Amino acid sequence: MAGAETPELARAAEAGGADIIEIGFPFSDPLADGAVIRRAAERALAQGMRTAQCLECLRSVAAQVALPLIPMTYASLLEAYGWQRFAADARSAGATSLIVADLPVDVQPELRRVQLVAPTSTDDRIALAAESTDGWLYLVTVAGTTGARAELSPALAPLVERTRALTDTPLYAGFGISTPEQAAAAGELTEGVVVGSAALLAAEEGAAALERFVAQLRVALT
Amino acid sequence: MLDSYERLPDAVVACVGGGSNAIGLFAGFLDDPDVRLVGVEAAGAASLGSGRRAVLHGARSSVLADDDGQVLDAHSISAGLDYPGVGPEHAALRDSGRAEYVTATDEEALAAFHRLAETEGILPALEPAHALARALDLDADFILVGLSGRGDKDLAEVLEH
Repeated sequence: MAGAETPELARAAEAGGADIIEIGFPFSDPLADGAVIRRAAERALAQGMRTAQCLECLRSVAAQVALPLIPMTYASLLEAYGWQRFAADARSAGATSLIVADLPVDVQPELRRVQLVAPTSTDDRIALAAESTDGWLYLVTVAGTTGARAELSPALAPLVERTRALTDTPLYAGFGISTPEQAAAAGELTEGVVVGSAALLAAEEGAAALERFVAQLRVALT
Repeated sequence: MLDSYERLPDAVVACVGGGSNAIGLFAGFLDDPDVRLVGVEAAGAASLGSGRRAVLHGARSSVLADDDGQVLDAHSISAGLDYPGVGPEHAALRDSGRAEYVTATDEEALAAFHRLAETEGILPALEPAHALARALDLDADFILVGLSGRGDKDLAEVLEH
């Protein structure tokens, strides 16, 4: 989540072996998010992290970290800022792509972004998302919100199978992946995994804790 | 209306929170241009009156939001109207001019509750009491007001005021 601590945390994640860093731009009503990310968003908003400040944070992270950076946010911020203006300003601040959690694949088609599909997506929607996604397709593992779960979702394997039948685009699994074991299991099925809430929880203990956690995930994925 | 009164109303009035009961009522009259459509929002939750284009709960519509697209807090004495967004059809009807949207305060809704109770013996929910409050102002002879719910649930609140 964008904020004062983000550059240090991003460096820690890079040191731990992350390949890509998603930076949340907080929104007042994050429907896709569970308690951990919601709380982080509330803290960020209380710190005054509006769109302009988030772009500054992104710029600062990009100056300190060599990894691809992907802002993750909700459509309302782009609607207010201007869709193409947001994309352009994010890119010039160092963003490699964008994730807009509540933007359906067929809305704003000119906005290059990583598309999301879920176990509830139809084959037609998966094909459309795969066709227009920027680099990789985000497979949401549950019909639910972000947040740690005890087991890797059983809905992931069938979703991967359906998606592989429709596209060769690289697939990353995310939502509910909290432990190295779950990451390894998801990583058997996909090209990559996205870890959000669990990383935020580690980050609450400090940059060193985050670096250790990312390193454990890295080891589990080799 | 046609079966019972052999005519259409001059105006149709409904309270608007998320907009579902209002759009249901308006839907029957959209193609009757002589029928005025009036939606009444809570003054503290006037998504159509004071909102801007934003995206909330899967809809791009008129929302109480700030310049950054962050959604603001709404307020209404009635839970059903206490919502910073509204269904996008209402935003479209507002923008095309087919429907007009006004507001009523908590106090006006409470007063309308009492007036209907005393004159007709009907307890309206506080949500449609907002519609009643503005219906009384309308310069029209034959007005259809949607009473979207009963006021039994609101008695405790009403008695407190």
